[in-house]
Amino acid sequence: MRVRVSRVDELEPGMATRVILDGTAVAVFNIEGSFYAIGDTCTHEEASLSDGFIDEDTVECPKHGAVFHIPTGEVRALPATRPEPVYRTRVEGNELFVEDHDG
Amino acid sequence: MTTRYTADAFARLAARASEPAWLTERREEALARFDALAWPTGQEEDWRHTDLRPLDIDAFDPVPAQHEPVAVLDAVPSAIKQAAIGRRGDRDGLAIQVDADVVHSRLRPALEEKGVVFAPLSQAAGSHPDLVQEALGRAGVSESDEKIAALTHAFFSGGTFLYVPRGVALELPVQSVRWITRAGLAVFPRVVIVADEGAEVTYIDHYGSADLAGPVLAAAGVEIYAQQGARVSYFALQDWAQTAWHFNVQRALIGRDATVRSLAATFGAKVSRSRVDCLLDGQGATSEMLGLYFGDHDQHIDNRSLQDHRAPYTTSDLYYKGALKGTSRSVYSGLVHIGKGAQKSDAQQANRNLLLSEGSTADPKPFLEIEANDVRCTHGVSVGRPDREVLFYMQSRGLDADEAERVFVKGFFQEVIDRVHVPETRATLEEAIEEELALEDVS
Repeated sequence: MRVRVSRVDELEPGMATRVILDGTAVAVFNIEGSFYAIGDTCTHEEASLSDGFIDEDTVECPKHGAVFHIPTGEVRALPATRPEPVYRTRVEGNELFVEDHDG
Repeated sequence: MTTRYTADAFARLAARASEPAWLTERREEALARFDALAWPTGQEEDWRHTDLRPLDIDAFDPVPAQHEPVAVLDAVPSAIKQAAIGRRGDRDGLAIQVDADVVHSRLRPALEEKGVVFAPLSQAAGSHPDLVQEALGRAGVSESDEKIAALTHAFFSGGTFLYVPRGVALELPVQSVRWITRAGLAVFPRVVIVADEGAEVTYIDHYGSADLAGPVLAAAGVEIYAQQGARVSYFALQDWAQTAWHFNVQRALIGRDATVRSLAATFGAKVSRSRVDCLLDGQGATSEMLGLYFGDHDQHIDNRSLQDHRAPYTTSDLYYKGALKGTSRSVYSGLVHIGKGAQKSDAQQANRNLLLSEGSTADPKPFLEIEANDVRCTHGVSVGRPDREVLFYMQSRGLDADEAERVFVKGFFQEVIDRVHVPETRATLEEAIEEELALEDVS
């Protein structure tokens, strides 16, 4: 499965957006020109990481402050203890896509 | 005199934890006390049922090889991580101790800003000496278990200090895991929890290990201080490999209108001796003490308790339930003490044992000592087998004999489990009971 996110220039460095991939919310980030995608719903409680605070390569959940490492989905601060799933991003021409590991 | 348990040994532990000198002096005092005290011989009333003669502490190394810190939780080995967070275990604080080292310790950043302190004991002693000094050891130790406690206080490693400031309530549990990686080690975890006025916290302490090729020694010391109006829950889940010697000395000092709820769950170890004491120090203090144990093979499970009512209008409610298979044995001995000034106190104490095999035994002994004349005290203990009529009824409804017994045992424990207010801890207990029930019975 894959889904179009936006035009590449629409997602600026330090910004995030949210897309639905096969029924699952995915947060897509631009960190200094590289695109990353992890699960959008915080693994602690219902909250959208694409609305979170981005600090270098981490994102802090807006609700309870859990922090995730964007490139790997790993937990960097409690209260969450479980990592976010990681998705692949792909740039084709000026279009940005997110896909799961089945492509 | 022992050869391994010397000031040199704890100096190495102290150096690698970079602890302040005053804390090492406390270790020295504890070692002097340990050396001065005799081991229980088995003649003492408190040790009549638990034989320590086969325990050779010199067989265990109190200074295990050092484990390096693990920066990211996801890098913690999966078995240990599983013990730490289970299937759904979000945490306000998390500390993972592998052998003698806390390799990962985190507190939710927002709580740090509110003044919560959660750190390995030696580290907290350096960063917050006033808080740690004021608390450490203040609850004292029951005389009967002082030898073991002195050993823990001299050689503690890793350990945890938690301070929750006035009025701060933690929504999620704080968790520590103590994990032993190999046979031949001695590990002495020490936990100090201080809840300031009106603070609230739930602390889950999990003792676990890989399957070990031989014996280990683990002796934990737990101190809980609940100041006025504070609410503390402390759950200890002991699931060591069945080669372990496990000791636990737990003391809670409970202030005015404060509440401490504790759970001592025992599934592992070859010999487990757990002492849980609550000292109801302030008017209106409340203590709930739950116990749950499941013995199999030749496990020996020794639970001790003290409900010490020192102030009026204090309430304590102790409820321990255990099932025993194989040739396992349970000993329970608990004292309810109501002091002269503790009028209008209410104390309950109950221990129920379910024998599931011919070879298992249980010896419950409740004691009351009442010096006040206007109190309510109840106590009751029992030892029995599953009710045959109930089993027969279940079989008449289509369950086979084994399934009927499993349902019966689960129902037996449910009464205790239902009183645990953290859903994931209830689930952990239910899973542990399922695992015990699935074990082949060796009578």
